[in-house]
Amino acid sequence: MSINELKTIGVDINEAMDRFMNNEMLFKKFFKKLLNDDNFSLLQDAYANNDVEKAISYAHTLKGVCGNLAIKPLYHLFDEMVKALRNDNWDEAIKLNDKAIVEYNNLLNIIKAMD
Amino acid sequence: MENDIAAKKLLIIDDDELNREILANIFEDIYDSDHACNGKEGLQMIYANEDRYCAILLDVMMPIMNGIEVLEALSKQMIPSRIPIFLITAERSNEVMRKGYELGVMDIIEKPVIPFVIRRRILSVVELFESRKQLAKKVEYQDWELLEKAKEIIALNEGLIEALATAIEFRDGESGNHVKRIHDITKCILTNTKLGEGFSTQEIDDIAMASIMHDVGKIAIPDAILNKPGKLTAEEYEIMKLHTIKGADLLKSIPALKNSNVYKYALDITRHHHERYDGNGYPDRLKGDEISLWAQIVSLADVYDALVSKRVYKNAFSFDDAINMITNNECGVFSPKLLSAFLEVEKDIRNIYNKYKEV
Repeated sequence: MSINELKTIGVDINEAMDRFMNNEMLFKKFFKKLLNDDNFSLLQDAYANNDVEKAISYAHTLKGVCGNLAIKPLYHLFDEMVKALRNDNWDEAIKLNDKAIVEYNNLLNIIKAMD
Repeated sequence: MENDIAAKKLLIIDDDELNREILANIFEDIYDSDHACNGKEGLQMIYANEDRYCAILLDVMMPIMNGIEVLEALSKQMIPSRIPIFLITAERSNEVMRKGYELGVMDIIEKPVIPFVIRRRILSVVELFESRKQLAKKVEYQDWELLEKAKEIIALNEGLIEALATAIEFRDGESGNHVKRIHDITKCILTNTKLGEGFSTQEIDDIAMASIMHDVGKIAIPDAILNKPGKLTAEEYEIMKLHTIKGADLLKSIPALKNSNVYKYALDITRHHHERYDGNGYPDRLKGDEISLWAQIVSLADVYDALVSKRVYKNAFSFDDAINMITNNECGVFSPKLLSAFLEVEKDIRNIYNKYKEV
């Protein structure tokens, strides 16, 4: 499967490739790294424990990663999530997290199928 | 080369590997980079080798020590004025930006970064810093060069003054050591006795340099009188005495000399080194402290040196005899203060004669 599959879940491949100075190896390396990245599961733990501070911290990290990799829908979800958490809007944050879980799983599935 | 821009590195301080790699990759064709995973580690790397880095790329939200804390520490050491620091952050709150600029960052760049934008913004600032450093180094070197040139010019001037005085001494049938001894005796008295109080080292050097010129006027005295082995007639003596006035006139006729600190002393010493404390000297018959201290010192040094040296018209006296003759006023009257200062350092003055022995 080619990297073009990533487009189906809203990755702006041109932007991401630009950021890696068209270094496809680096591009793939960091997408594949997401398979072993535990920030997302740590974020889920934070929600399970009602830990706002940790939730902000992991959401912020994930926002950064998705921003760098130009995973647009997830980037916007995490961006909104950080704002909601900072504004003590816990219910809104949980709604955003539910959407993020779906998006993130789709993302991991596509990456797993990548060459 | 140490100051080669290309040999310098970027320091990337970010807790996220992806961010570090993206930044390193963007600048890879120009700079190598060092990486730190948190503020504390980055700070240690900067302290260990500040000169290695041409720019610091600093994240804000980091564990252990955040970017603002790093900036606060760097700011205390004035490092932001030597290395350009860039905040690379998703944290674009007004508070963070205000604090960042206050603490001396050059620019704040938003994450996720856009390569051609960040390259442009960072490289132009790095170039500015490096060329400013090169310029400062160049100016420093040029300052040093100018100072060296000034020293050379001073040495040359002193050499020329000495050459002139020595040439005149040669006509007098002497070796040229006479002027060197007068220089050293004058300096010795001013440096080591109360008479030198209130004079700076530079002023003492200027007076000693001026003392060398005391007899330049002898250039205007005919050989027949200057080198006459026997006693001078009254008429010849009157001509001989003119070397004081002629010397001062000579110095006045050299415009370049007037700008020198040595000039005012030289003019006075040349004209008045034969004045005597009781008013019986020449050419102006000055009395007591109408005669400047430096002219008094040089006149005593001149008399002493004449006594202990062999001349066409006389043999050398011993140091002890010379002292006796001077203190008995056999060679004219000197100020009591000057005499006692002279006696204080007379032992040191005898050493000067070992340095410039007559051959």
